[in-house]
This record gives sequence, C-alpha cells and structure tokens, in this order.
Amino acid sequence: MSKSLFVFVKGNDIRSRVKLLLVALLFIWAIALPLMPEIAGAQQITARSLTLGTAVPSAVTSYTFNFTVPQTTAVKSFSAQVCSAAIGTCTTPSGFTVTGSSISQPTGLGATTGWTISTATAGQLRMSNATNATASSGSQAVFFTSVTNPNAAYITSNGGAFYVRMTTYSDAAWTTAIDTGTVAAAVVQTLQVNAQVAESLTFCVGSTTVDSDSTGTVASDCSAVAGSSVNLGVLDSSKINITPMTTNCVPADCGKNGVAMVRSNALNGTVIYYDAVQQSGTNHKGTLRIAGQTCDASANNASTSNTDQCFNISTTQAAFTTANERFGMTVAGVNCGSTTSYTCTGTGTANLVRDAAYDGGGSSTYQATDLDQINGPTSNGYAWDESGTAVQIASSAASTIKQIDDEALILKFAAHPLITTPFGSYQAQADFIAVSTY
Amino acid sequence: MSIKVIGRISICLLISVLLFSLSGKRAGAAIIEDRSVVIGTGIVSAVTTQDIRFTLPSSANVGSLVFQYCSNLPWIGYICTAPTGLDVSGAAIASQLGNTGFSIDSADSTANRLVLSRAPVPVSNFPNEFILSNTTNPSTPGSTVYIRISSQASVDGSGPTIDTGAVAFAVQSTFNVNAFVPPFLKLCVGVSVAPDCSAMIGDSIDLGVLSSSTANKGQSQYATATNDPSGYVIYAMGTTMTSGNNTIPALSSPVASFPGTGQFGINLRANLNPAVGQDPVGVGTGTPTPDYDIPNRFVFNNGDSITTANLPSDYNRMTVSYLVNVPKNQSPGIYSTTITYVATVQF
Repeated sequence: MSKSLFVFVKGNDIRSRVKLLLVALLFIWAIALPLMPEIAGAQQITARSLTLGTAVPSAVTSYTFNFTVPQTTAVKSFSAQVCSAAIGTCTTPSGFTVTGSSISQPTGLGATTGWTISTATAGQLRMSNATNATASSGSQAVFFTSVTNPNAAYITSNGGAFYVRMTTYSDAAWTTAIDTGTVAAAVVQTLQVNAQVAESLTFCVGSTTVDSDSTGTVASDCSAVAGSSVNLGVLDSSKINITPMTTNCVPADCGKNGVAMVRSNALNGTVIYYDAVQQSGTNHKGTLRIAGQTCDASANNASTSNTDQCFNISTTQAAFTTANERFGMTVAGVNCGSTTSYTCTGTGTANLVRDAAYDGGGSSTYQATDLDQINGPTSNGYAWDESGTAVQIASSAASTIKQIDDEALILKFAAHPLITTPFGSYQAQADFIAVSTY
Repeated sequence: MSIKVIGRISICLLISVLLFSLSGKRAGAAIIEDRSVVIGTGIVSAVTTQDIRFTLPSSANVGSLVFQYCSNLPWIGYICTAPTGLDVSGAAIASQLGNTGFSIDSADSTANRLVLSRAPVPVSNFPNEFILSNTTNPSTPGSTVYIRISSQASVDGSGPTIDTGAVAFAVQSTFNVNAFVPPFLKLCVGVSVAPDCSAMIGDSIDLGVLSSSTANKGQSQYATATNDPSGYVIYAMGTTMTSGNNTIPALSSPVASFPGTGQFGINLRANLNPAVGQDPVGVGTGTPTPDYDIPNRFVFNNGDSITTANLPSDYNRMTVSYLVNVPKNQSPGIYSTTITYVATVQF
C-alpha cells in the first residue's frame, strides 16, 4: 500500500507531498490511538516519595505519599500499585496486603473531603472522589493507614525493596490516567541489640572525718573507704562523748565517724542492717564492754547495772543526758558527696532513707552540734541493740528510686559513763550487712 | 554475583551468627525474680548462714538448683572466679520453703558451687527460700560475692538452664567502737563536805575544854567514790590525843561513852549519847566497817579500815563522830591529834 501511495504522489509538487505526509500521519495516529488511550498526555509525577510508618516486615503501618502532579487536571482517583519491580510485570510482594487499610483525606488534590478508599484490588492502594472537580495545586500528600508491609520472606527472596507505581486519574474508576510516577521503599529486618547489666552491689564500712551530709566527700567510692574503727576517747562522767572525738583523744581512729557506703542497682531496693558482734564474757556481750568480763544478768537490752563493765543501752532511740550510763549509735545523715548518677544533696534527697529508730532526731537536718564532748543532752537520739540480731538502719526499698549510687550513711556513736562505770578499755563490735533485692 | 556482593552477604551472615551465639545460651531462660540473699554475718571468714530467696518464673520440671559463687561476674556461662576464702562445700540446708524437696548434691558441689538436687517435678511460681548453714565467708574485706542462681531439669546441675538470676553480698571486717573509761577515785575530807565532794569546809575540830563529867564530842566528814570494780577501803591513820607525854587512852574496841574515864574513839553513825554524828548518806555502796558502825559505841585503832565498798561506788558521805572523855586526874595540857584518812583501790 505504501508503494501505491508513493506512486500516487510521484510527480506532484511539494504542496501535494505535504498533504500526503499529513494524511499519513493522520492515518498512523488513527491506528495507534486505540492502542494507548490511557497514557496519552500522561506526565511524570515529580518530587515523589513514600514514607512508611515502620519498615518492619509484616508490620501494619501507614503509607504516606508526597508528590507534585505536573498537570492541573482535576484528579478523581488515585492508585498506588505495589510491585516487586519498578517496571514490567507487577508482582505483589509476599505478605503485602491492603486489606483493612483506610485513608485520611489527602491534601493538594482539590477536594479536601469526600475521598474514599478501595481495597478491592489486591496489591493496590486506591482512593477516589467522583465529585472532585477542583484542579490539583501545589504539592500533594496522600495518606493510607493500616497497610500490611511485605513479610520477612520477601526480604529473603527480593532483598526487601519494593516499588509503588502511582497514577492519578481524571475519572473515578482508575481508567483515564493523568500522571504517573514510581517510588521505592523497603522492609528491613529488625536489628536487635542485646546488652546485659550485671547485678551490682558494692558495700563498705569504714571511718571518715566527714561530719556532714551536705559538705565534704567521704570517698570517691568504696575502694577509697578505709578504717575499721572509731574512738570515743576518754569518757568522762560529767560529759557525753560523741564521734568525731578530738578532746583528749589521741589514737588514729579519733576524730572520725563511722561510715557505711553502698552502691546497688537492685530494682527492689537495698536494706542496710547492723548486728552487734557478741564478744567474750558473760551477759550483754553485744554492748560497749570490756571483753571477757561478767556483767549484770538483767534481761537483754534492759541492763540497769551501772557498776558492771558493760554499758547500758536502749533499743529505743533517745537523747543522752549525763544522768544515765548509755552507749548508742545513730545515722546522723546520708552523705551524697560521691553520688554522680542523680541529684542528691544530702539526707532529704537521698534514696537511702534512715530507719526511724536510727534517724537522729527524725529531722533531715544534720545535727552538727553533736560531736566531741558536750554537756548534754544530745541533739540526736541514739540507740543500740546488743542482742546480735540484725537491725535495719536504712533502706531504699520504699523510695521512688531504689537504686543507690555511693550514698554514705554517717554513723555517729555516743557514750556516757557514770561515776561507777568501771574503768578500763571498752569496745563494741558491729557487723554491717547490705541486702539488695533484684 | 560480584565479589562486593558476596562480601556484604558474608558480613551479614557473620553478624547474624555472632548475635545468635550471644543470645543463644539464654534462649528460653527466664530471669529469676525477687531474688536476694541475707547472710547471717558479713564478717570476713565467718562461718555463717545464707538466706537465699527467689521466685522461679517458669513452670518446667526442675531437678536441680545451682548456686555458683563468683567474685567477677554474675552472669551464668561466663568464667567464674572463686572468691578467696569462700567455702560452701560443707553447707547444709537448714530450711527450705516454696518449691521444696531438695538436698545437697555433694558429689557435684565444690567450694564455690552448690548443687541442690531432687527428683524432677514442675516448679510453682511462688517465693522460695533456702537457708543454708555452715557456709564460710570470703576472707577479703570489702569483697563482693555474686551468687549465680540457675534451675535445671537435670538432677545434678548439668545441662541447659531453665531460669537464671544472680544476687550479691559483700563482706567486711568487724567494725570496732573503742572507748576508755579512766580510773576514778575521789576522797574529800573536811569539817563538812558536800555529798559529791563539790565543797569542803574546815580542816580542824576544837573539842573545847575537856570535862570529866560530860562527854566531849566533835565531828568531821569525808565523801568517797570510785569506779574500781573491787571498790575501795578508807583507813583512819593517827594516834589518840596527846599533850606532850600525856595521853588519853584510845578505845581498842567499841565502847559506850563513860564520862570520867579516859576515852578516845570515833564512829560513823548518828549517836544519841553523846548526841553527835550522822548516819552515812549517798547512793554509793560504801558502808562503815562493823566496829565503827555501832551507834553510841566508839573505837579507835590506828590504821583501822573504817569504810569499805566492794563494788564501784557512787559518792557516800560519812560523818566521823569524835568522843573524848577524861578522868578527873587527867594532866592538864592542850591535847591534840591528827587523823589522816586514806582511800585505797586496786586499779
């Protein structure tokens, strides 16, 4: 036929040749038009992207499309076909499903309401609005939710990447395309990071010159806590001796308080106990006494003898006066000078809380006047349990934060003899225990 | 497939294998809950008890519990450094609560590993408590001991762990509180003294003009206290009253007053004949010795103990009554004596 046509025009002038060319083009267009009706005039969607709520395989998440349509034709429907490849035959990634998906109203696509989702087509996120007659403008955003990601098997088979072929349509039946564009996304295997934090407990007992809960640092940590004794010096029946002792006190353990420092990450808290070591002798082996001596046989914790070589004690916290023979201890405060993990400025802000029977005067204020030799009465209350039974003196179990970072209990000891308290070297021994519940 | 692609795949596989190997040992193992240990004493090297409490979250068959004691890490599966001095090889189960029926598996236990065994049965998810006796604390002050706790289906502590966890305790040296009570002895003497020696007045007594018809009397006081556990003794040192070579006879035994006879004596009581003196006062344990403790009887022997206390004594104030009687033919003169009171203790 083309040959005949060529023959037909052979010998005509140039005008005739142009006419013939136009006819040929018209003929070709007429033949080709039915073959590509939908993409005729379609342009590439620009500035396109897809944001997944999560890239975890099989996760039910959101798909947000952002793009800019090049044409202003009113969009009545939109589709996003999810494929394992950007071009060619579309294979839906395994596990991907639009079942149960929904949309939020898009922006920039004309009508701001009236858009509805269609999940009828597997592997395609679709929405439409037949009444939209408003041209698209600016950038567009389309929101799908509750979309199920491709599964983990897809990562194995295809590496996880998938492609979404977007098309806008001028009709509501996803037939007459306006613009198209493809975006890519991927599902990735969750990266699991494992770590272990060991149970920790660092507990030490020693002596310190620090006599405050808010000033001074006992030690950087337990490794720097030293000493295993404190000295109450030379007792005087007219005075009350309280650590730290300096008057008429020479040994190296003078001028010091006791200290118990603890660090623990126990989730359920840490409790500090002490128990009086039972010394040699008879009766009242756990009090301030001369080892080996026989003391009064009155009931435990109720000694009333002022002439034996065992100091009287009271398990009930009370201030000391010069009227009674007494030995006792109190937790004067909690020093946080070594605490770095959280804000702690002293007794009232520490995680360790003193037991009511060993909290000095019950106030969070450190009773600084109780030191060395005083006429009495003491500002703090003191107590001691000579029985050898573990006695709780502090705990973080009831605190909001139960972990403890190098909080130091400042232990003050006090004693007062009567005139009849036999002379000699006295000693009390204690065993301190920290119990953490993890 | 390019070399780069193969390399990337290899790296991914390697990472996967490493992650799997790190987590695989505890695959399926649950964390033991509410776990703690209370030691009977935290003193180094002490033989004591351990009260271990925990709750097993799983309900699997458990045939053994393992307590492994380490000084380095609490994690099961890691190398365990045995705490120096710790020894649980002689431990015994003093009591058990919760999931019970366990006994010590001595064959599989060591100094730092204790295996509790029983016939495997499912465990219940309630608190367990095992009190172990005869365990020896580590010998290093300040050291922390981690007890790795695990449950196994086997009866000998072998095989995969079911539940795991750890607790910790620390040991210390004994903490000492030292004090010194100095020796104390107080003796004050005067015509009158305060009961606590806070005041003393006078150092001589004038008995006036001696008469053969009436008893001549006077008094002085002393107070004493000591913290000597064996108490104190007060001695009266001196002579009878003399004037040159003339003397007034001292009473060598307790005798009543007889005016007109030569008598010199003392006692420590309130007397009616003659009316002089005062009974001892004070809360101390000091008392007059028997010869000087009889009202209206007087005696004086140089060096006699006149007051004693067998215990540490608070203050006692004694009033010394002096009696002088003279016969009609007593040579004139100024009679005097010096009595020295001496307190002794055994410090």
